[in-house]
Amino acid sequence: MAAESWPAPAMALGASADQACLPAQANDLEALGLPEALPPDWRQRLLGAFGQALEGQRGLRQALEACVGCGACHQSCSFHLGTGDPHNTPQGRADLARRLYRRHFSPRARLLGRWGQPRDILDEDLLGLWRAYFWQCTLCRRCTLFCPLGIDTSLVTRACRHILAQVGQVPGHVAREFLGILGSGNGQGLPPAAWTARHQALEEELLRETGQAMACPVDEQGADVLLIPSPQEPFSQSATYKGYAKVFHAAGLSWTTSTYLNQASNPGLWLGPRQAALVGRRVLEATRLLKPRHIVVAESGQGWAVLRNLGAVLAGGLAGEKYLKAKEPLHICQLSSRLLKEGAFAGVLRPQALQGVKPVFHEPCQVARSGGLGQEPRRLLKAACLGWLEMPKPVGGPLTLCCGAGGGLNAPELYQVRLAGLMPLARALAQAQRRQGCTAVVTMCATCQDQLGEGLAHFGLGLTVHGVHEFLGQALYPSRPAEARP
Amino acid sequence: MEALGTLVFGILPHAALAVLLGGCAWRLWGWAATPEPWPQPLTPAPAGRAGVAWRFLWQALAMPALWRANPILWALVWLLHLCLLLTFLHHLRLFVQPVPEWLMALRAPGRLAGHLLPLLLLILLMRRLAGPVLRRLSVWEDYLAPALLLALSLSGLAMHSLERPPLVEIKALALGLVGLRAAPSPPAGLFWLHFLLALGLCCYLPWGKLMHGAGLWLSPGLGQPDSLRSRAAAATGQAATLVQPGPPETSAWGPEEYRAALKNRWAGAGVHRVMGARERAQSLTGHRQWPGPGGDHGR
Ligand code: SF4
Ligand code: SF4
Repeated sequence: MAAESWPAPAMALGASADQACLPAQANDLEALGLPEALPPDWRQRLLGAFGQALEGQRGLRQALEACVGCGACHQSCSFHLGTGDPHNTPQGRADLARRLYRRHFSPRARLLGRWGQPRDILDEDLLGLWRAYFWQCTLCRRCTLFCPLGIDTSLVTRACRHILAQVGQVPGHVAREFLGILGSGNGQGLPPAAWTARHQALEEELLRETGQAMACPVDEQGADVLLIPSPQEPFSQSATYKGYAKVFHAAGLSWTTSTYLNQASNPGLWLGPRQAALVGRRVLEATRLLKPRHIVVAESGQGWAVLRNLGAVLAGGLAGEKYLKAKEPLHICQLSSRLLKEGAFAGVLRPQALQGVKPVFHEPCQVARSGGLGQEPRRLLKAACLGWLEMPKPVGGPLTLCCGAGGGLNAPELYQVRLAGLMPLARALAQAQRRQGCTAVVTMCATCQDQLGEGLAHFGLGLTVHGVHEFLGQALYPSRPAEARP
Repeated sequence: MEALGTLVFGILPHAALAVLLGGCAWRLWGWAATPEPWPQPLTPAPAGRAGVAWRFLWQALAMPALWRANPILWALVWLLHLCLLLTFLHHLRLFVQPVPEWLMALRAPGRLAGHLLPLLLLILLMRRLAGPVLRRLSVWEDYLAPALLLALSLSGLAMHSLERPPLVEIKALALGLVGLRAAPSPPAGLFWLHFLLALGLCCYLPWGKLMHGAGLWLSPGLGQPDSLRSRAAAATGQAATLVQPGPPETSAWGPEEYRAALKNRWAGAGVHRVMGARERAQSLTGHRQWPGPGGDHGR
């Protein structure tokens, strides 16, 4: 199916209003310390939380009070482009919250009270719209770059998710992922024994594939690097994960992961500041127990953006941890790019290993717009892969399109929403494939990898999906062909 | 008539000015007093305050975001704001005596801007009505603001083309308002309408979306510097109070459980105590010592 023949969505208001997450179970809500779903006084609670958020977050007030309604942001949002639903424009999304603002908190409401206002705007219908559309936004912040006032709709989405949690409106998958981290260190509920066993298996695989004995340690103390990965990486994205092991091996750095926290992304941020801090603090606790020299975040978009920007806020800072050489977490690409510059890979790195591969670089939204990175992954790609390409200008660099799956949209029931959100990126990739002949996509986020792997197959694009460190690892220690293995 | 004139030209302007200034102050104060506890600068962000100031200035004057979204809209909006500025300056000459040279020089462009203004406003209104998505998302206020400006500029134009505006009286009135002196009311005519609409605009401006200009400066994405220092500073700020834990959290895999599991494992492996980084380094002879971050990291 050619990209041009993908059906254009109908421009219908409410077209994707029924694409909502399944709600959390009552016992999960209780374990989260959140109120039951829709307690009898839910209207007052919701308005109270809304008022508090307005008083405490300037970015939210800006989005609700300063928007001129110019519509410049409409075409920036992947979900509007993919679903055609006006509620899914950044303006329309914020408008769902603005309705409450106008009725209860605007200067007019404060000065004139209920005079000339609709009597009751906060009903189950509006709540239903909130529950749908605040979970059809990946908080990718692309809209901010198209708004003449720099309005950041992701702040509205985040704040409204927190407000919804205050009346027990939490998606089941987010609750389970969060409780999974508290219960086993990762949202997938992998027990420490499974993690350790998988790492032993990885060591054997690496030895078989490369002929080198490389360590994949778990829960070791005093290592150079404590790596905070995504839980699926050692399993479904093991090529990228092995790339980390190869980099550490080539540079002679010792490393470890912790079964106390083996998930970089922070689902607590979709529930409330306190829940975000509970996950954020686990980084600090894991660090204190393992006393590494550096905390390094693997290829995870949200995990990196949250830990980098909010880590100090959530966990209270690392200044007191004397064994740490850097008082902030590093991104794995920062580390590798630094090692590369210092010549740690000299003599080992052979980009010829990737001859014939022509990947296009999809920069994850969280990295490109919130992660303070840019040159590092490109430096690595340049060194590892001779034929890599940038995305075309209008969707490259900070303007990168969202993959459609981040920001807590990883529920099975949101499959259609994710596909819609991927559509604009898939079109751009189809174009790169046709015009520039690219054969693969390389990215640096576990969620992007999952989503692109699943979604590009749906759209019939024959592009393979890889991680930056997969390529770097291949250029360092390529896999030997099966017949050359012992 | 006399009493009405006193009301319209003696009392209402001062009341409108009070509403304008008071309202703006109230809203700006409310915005300024609202904290933004979460550090979330938009990459690539400047590291210091000066860089942030430039970023804002660039956004405000060149509007690169709007250009990105829609170059035609960008041109219209840029022209609209330029016309508003010129029209404002064109009116300023009534309020000062003697009129400085440069204000006099701006009279011709000011007149041109006055003619362009209703045209631009009409185009923008049409655009709002023509776009299906934009029309659905528009509320009455989105029409009120341009409609008010349109009425104001049309009444001003009509005043000039349909009758001869009593410029001498208007100037006396303007100077009287500035100097807080009573002045005789100008003769009845379209000027009254124009003047009343201007007062209406003054009263409306602080409350609605015409305050968007000040709103730009609230953007956390554009307004936050991106540095180690700014992130660390946020940790001790407002946000610290938001993330305080509530009642003790129970977790099947808490720090205690993890510590116990580690102890178990180390005991099994013959390791009984925590190795420090230096001891660890010494035990790993032949291992490369990575010096730690510097250079491009740690920004
Ligand atoms: S943050 Fe991204 S997904 Fe959300 S409204 Fe903005 S552009 Fe759309
Ligand atoms: S671009 Fe900004 S000001 Fe314009 S409608 Fe979107 S959020 Fe509002």
